[in-house]
Amino acid sequence: MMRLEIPKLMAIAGLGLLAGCVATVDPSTVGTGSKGEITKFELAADVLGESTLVPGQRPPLDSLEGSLWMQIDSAEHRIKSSGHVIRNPALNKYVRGVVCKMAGKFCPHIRTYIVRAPNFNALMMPSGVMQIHSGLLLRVRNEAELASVIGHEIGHYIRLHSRDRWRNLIDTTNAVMVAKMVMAAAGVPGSSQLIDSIAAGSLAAYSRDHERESDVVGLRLLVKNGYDPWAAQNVWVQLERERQFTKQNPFRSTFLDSHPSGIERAGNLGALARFAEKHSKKKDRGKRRFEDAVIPLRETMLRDELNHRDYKRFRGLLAMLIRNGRKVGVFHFFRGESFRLQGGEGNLDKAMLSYRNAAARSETPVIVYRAMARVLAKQGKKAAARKAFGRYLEKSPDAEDREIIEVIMDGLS
Amino acid sequence: MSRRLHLLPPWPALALVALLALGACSRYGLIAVERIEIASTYSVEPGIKWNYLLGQDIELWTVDGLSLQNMFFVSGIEDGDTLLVGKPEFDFFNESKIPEYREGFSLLDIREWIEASYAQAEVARMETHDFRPVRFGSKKGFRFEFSFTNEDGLSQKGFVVGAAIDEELHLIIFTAAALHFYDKFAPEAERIIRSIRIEGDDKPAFN
Repeated sequence: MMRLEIPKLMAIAGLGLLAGCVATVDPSTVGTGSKGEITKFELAADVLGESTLVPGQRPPLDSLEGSLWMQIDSAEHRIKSSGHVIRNPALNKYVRGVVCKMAGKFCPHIRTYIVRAPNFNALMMPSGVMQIHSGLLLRVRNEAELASVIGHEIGHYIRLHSRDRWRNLIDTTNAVMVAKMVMAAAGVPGSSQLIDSIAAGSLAAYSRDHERESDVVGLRLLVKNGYDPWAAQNVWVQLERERQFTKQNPFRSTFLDSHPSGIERAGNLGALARFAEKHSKKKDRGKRRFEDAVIPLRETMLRDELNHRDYKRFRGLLAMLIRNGRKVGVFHFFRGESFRLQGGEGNLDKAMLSYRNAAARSETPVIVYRAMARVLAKQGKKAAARKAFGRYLEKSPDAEDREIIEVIMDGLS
Repeated sequence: MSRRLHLLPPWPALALVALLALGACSRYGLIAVERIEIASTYSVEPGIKWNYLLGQDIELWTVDGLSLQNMFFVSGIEDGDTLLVGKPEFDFFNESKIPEYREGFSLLDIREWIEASYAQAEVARMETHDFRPVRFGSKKGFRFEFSFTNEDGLSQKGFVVGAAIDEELHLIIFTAAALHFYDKFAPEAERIIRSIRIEGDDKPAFN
């Protein structure tokens, strides 16, 4: 009953089945074999110009394919008003800018939505709807990495992979089954876990050639726009690291767990990057641009990840963010939060350690002192808890919970 | 599960959870404008006629529909209880993440537990503020205000009032559409809160 799934997010989640989804990439098949290789000529050619996509062209309304399009249209209507879409104008402008840069002449036909969901995912629908999940923005480290994922999705779009995939489904399955799949997609609850499981479930539906092709398109678009060709591989290396924190739990079918061959995939993307590097001098990463756009929303994204309550994995993510990022105080704070919420004597001590690390940095939110006080109170260290609460109130004169804190402080004396 | 949910309009998440907990056979009843007993623990006196749905330890009141305004009474919360009801039938990984109430929760823990429960119900942009002590009948209680966006993108506002009575937590949660309905029904919700009289006490106590 917890997964109280509400039609709109159902739709958002369900679209995974209908869309080109980065989480559906089959890593074991993307190789540097004949179809996965690129030539110097291809690298220089106009990858967007090669596309046979005619934006706006739709299947006839009275066809089964046409009715599937109507369903994704209605899903888009629901996404538009969803409370789960991040509306922050600066972030939207930034992400749409990257999409437009990569999509070139197709830019006017792509509508991008940033969805608040704590997982690594991006989706592209054949109607031109692109969804970027907030968990992806938290995990990629720079603009080039974001662009690599966007480029992969554009690959599915401009090479008409969804159309092929649907036609294949309609040919090989019966029509009622396909319609049922779409209905199921529209009705699946919207927990982020389930978004992943849908992706995993539809893994087999994308052909190996499609994935390989999208990777190559993505890489060519990266090079065309002067981005570091290693970005795509870096994303996978990073994800593989996070994955190592979840190995203990084989049943958690997150994006990462559904990709056991992430290392292999990273290797293949690396081979492509090595080749591309020889023919491209530009290596823009856009780290600062990316961070300036994402940092204002980082605390919200981290809170969403924390609410996911997968503490060990969350700390794995935080460890990477601490290693890579700037203004890392907030990461230390959330590391403390994860230990505090997990509870237990040893974890309370670890929480304190993280909070102290956080408090030593100026960018850390003032609530770190309240958090420290809560841990100290739980440990029975009343005087120290009182002092920490006092520090919180002193640093936060307009604290919205001042009166409650004063009640708690009275109880500690 | 999904089919059942499919038939339901996108109500505020918690109200929807509560409704499901009440069971498929529940029907609305009409509350008289008189003193009403809640969970044999305390009573309140509404000033208008509300519709109600009754469940175990839960009452859900509305006038125009749950997504427009509702009063959610959750009673007798003990160690291990969840604000959301039951285990998710969609728990593919057999690991429920519904936050549980724990004995010994501080006031800050209680708010955090309510926020985490709402987050699990997938409401968006939940914000809480103005956490303060209030009277709950004759008992010391607490209150905070909140806002969130439901799945239709509709802004909701409300407040939580709660207290421990005989070592069990009791909550009253008022939620209404921020547009029009909150302002229209907040005075009635406040009146209900002011009218709380705990079983065994003679007079209602005011804030």
